[in-house]
Amino acid sequence: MTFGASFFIAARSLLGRKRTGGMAGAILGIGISLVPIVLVLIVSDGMIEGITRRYMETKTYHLQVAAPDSMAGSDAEKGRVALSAVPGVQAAYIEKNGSGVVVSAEASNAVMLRSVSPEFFVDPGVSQYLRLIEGKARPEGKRDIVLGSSLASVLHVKLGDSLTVITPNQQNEFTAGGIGADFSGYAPRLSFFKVTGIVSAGYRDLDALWAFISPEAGERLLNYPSSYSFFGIKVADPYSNSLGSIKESVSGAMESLYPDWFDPYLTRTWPEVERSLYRSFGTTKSMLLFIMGIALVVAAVNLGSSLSTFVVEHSMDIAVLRGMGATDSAIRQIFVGAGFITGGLGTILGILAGLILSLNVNFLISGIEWIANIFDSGLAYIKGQPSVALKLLDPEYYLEKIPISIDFAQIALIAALSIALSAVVSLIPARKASRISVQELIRKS
Amino acid sequence: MSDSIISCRNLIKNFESQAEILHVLRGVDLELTPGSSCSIMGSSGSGKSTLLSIIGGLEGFDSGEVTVGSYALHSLSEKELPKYRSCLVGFVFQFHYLLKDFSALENVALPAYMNGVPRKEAWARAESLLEKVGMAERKDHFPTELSGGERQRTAIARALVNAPSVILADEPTGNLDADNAQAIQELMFGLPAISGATVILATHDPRLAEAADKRFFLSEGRLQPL
Repeated sequence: MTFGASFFIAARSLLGRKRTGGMAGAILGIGISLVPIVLVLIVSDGMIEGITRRYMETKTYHLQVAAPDSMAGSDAEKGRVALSAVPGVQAAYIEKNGSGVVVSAEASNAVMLRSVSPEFFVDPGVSQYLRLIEGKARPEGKRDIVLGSSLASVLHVKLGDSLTVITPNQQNEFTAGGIGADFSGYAPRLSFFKVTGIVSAGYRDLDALWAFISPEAGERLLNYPSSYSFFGIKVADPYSNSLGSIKESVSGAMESLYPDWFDPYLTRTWPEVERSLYRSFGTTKSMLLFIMGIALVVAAVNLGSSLSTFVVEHSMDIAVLRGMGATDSAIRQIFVGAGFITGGLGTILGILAGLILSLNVNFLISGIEWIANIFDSGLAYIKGQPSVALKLLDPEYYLEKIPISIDFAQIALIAALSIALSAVVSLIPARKASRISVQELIRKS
Repeated sequence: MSDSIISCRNLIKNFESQAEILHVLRGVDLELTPGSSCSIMGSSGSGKSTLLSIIGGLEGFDSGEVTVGSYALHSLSEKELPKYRSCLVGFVFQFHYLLKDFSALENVALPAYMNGVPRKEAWARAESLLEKVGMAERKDHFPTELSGGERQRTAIARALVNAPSVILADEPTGNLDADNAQAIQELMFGLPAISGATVILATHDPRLAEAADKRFFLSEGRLQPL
C-alpha cells in the first residue's frame, strides 16, 4: 500500500465523521502537556537571558582582565586605551571594587563598592539596563555615592541623605571573627558620603548589592588586599563564538603592554566570571524541562492507550481492509500514521497555545494578580482587615517584567520529539491491529 | 482442466475446539471456467462461507488443492495472500462491511487506491461503478446514511473496482427485502458479466441460486450438483 493511501485511511478514520472521543482526548492530552513545556522554555529562557544580560552589561562586562591593585591611574588608562583598540572590542573601562559596610541612620548593610570609569555610565549596554530612579546615575564628587534601589530601600535612605561607609584600612583587613579570633589588626576606615543617585538594574540581587563611588573615592578607599581592580571590556555580540578569539587578542595586547605581571589566565569571559550562577540557571531550566517532559511522556502513553481502544473499535474495519488485500505492514503503517497525525495535531495545538500564553505571560500574570487582589480585597473588607496587595512574581526575587525569548530551534526540537514519541507509542497498537484475523471477525459478526 | 479459473480438489477443512473436531469440508471438488457463475446452497453451518473464505484466501485449509487463476493457494505463503486478494478477488458479504468513516465513493475507491492505482484514477473508477449500480446520487453519503440495498450496491461496486477475476458473494441478499434482493441479483449477474468475472455465490435464496450457471448444494462437507 502506498504511503498516501495509508495516510488517507489513518486521517479519515481519525478525523472522519465517526471519530472517537478518546482520540480527541489524546490530541488534547498531547497539546496540554506541551503547553507548560513551551511556557517553561520561553519564560526561563527569557528570565535567564534577562538576568544574564543585566549581569554582563552592568556587572561582569563581556570580558574582564584582572589588574594589580598597584596599577596607577595613568598606567591603567594606557591599558584601557590599548584594549579599546583591540579588534572586536567596542569599549573598555577601568573598575575597582571591594567589600564594605554602609551605615545609614536606621540600618546598615554589606555592599560591593564600585568605582568605575565615568564612560561606564554612558555605555549603551549600561544605559539600557541601569535605570535612573532618582538624582544622577554617575557619582561625580569624592563624597558622592549612588545606590542600587533595593539597597537604598534596606537602608531607608533617600536622595541627599548621609551615609557612612566602613572599609578596611590599606594594611589591615577584616578577619573572620569568632570566639578567640585575633582582632589586633582590625582598624576600619570610616568615610562619609551623600546619596546623589538611586539606580536600578531591574533585578533585586544586583540592586541590593551596589554602591557606586567616584574613581577619586575609589583610589582612596579601595586599596586593601581583597579589593579587585580590572579592565571591563564590551564587544559587539557577547553570545557570538568570536568572543573566544577576542579574548585571545585581548590577552595578546595585555601581554605586550604589561609583560611584568600579565598572564593569560587573568582574562576571563562573562560565562567564566559568573560560571556557577549561569550553571545554576541552566540546571534549573533543565530540571523544569525534565519534569514537564514527564507530563509529555504520560500524554504519549495515554495516546498509546487511546490508539489501542481505537484498534478495538475499528477491528472490523481493519478486517475489511485486510480482506481487500492490506498487508500486515500496511495495517501497521496506518496505525503508526494515526499516532503520527494525533501527535502532530496535539503538538501543533500545544505549541500554538504555549506560544500564545508565553507571548502574553506578563499580561496573564497581571490579570491573575488583579483577579486575586479583587477577591483578597473583598475578603479583607468582609473580615474588616486591611488588604495586602498580592504579587505573583515578587520583583524582590524576579525580574519586574518577564522578557520573552523564543528559541524556534528548541521549539522545533520539542515538536519533533513529541511527534516522534507519538509515532513510537503507536507501534504497539499498530502491531496489535496487524494481527487481527479477518475470518474470525467476520465469523463473529 | 487447464481452462478453469477456479479449481478445488479434495478440499478438506476441519475446525478443532477443545471438545471436538468439526469436519466442515470433507473433500470438496469444484471447477469453474472464466466468466461463469455458480451458486452454493446449504443449511446454516454447512460450510458455505468457509468454502468462500478458503477460495478468497481469507482462511487456510487442512488438505487438498485450491488453484485460482495462476495462484495455487495450497502452496501460497501468508505474505503472498494479500496480493492475491487485492488483485484477483472481490468480496461481497451479507453484512456490507463498508467502512463507516468513509463515504460511499471513498469506500469503493479505497481497494484500488490501496492497490497502487493513482488517487484520481481510483476515484474516477469508483464514480463510474457507483453510477452503474445506481448510486451516483448517493456517492457522498456515509454508510449510516444509506439503506440496506444501497449499502449492498455500494459493496458490489467496491468488489468490482479492481476488476477482479473472481467475485465471491456470501449471502449478498440475506439481509434485504424482496425488491432490493431482486435489484442485487440483477447487479450480481449483470455487472460481473460486463467485467468477465467468475462469480461464486453462497445463498439461501433459491431465486438467486437459480440465476447462476451452475448450482450446488453443500451437505455433509461435500458439494452436490443440483
